[in-house]
Amino acid sequence: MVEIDLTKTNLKNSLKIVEEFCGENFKSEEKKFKVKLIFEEIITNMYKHGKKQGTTFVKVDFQFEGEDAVLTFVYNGEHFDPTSYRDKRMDEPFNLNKKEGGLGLFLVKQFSKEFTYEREGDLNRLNVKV
Amino acid sequence: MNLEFLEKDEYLVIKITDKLDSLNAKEINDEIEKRLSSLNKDVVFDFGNLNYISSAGLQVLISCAKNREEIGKKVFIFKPNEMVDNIINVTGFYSFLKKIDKI
Repeated sequence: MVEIDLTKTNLKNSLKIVEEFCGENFKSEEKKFKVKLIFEEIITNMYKHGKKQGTTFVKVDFQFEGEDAVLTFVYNGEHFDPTSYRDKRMDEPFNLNKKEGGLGLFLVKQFSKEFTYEREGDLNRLNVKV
Repeated sequence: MNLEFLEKDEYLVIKITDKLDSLNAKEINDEIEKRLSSLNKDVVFDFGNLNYISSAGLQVLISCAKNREEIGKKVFIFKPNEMVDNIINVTGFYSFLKKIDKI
């Protein structure tokens, strides 16, 4: 379990955590790509929207279930379930005139096998199986 | 920076190597915008050596495509690897980007 203080650690150092984990644990380039992508999208969302939602830290854990990696993010802040959030802009075919947004969560949903959310007291828990 | 420009008669090749993510997307986007500001040509992204792209990188493609659309020009993708190709495909970006086989 790695704890990231979002108020003190910059994004670059946060992303190093997943680089190291992937380098040490996966031979498959596809798996490495997906784990990095999902980690980046979730962490960057926390940096972008966390302040508004009162998120100041996140604890990240990596486990294995057979061939799959399970990433767990436990973080403080307001109740917000990203698994049920659907940006309506992603429901329509993409065109250049559409306002941008929602791409990160869309990619997490596309490239994960399971994506679940639970509220535990004052904390939020996301589990993502890749 | 992992960014190179190569100007041909009819288009500008933008070669991005290694990765296009939250850490370098803004800087790369700024460089591309500067380069395109006085250029009236199509653009080809050479992704032959691009190993990774995230949503931040996809925003660079959107920005470039919007820029070219304003002057009636197009943006092409050359040699994306399987995962980069998959990401561009699932997001629906191939509705405004076209893949090409050679440059």
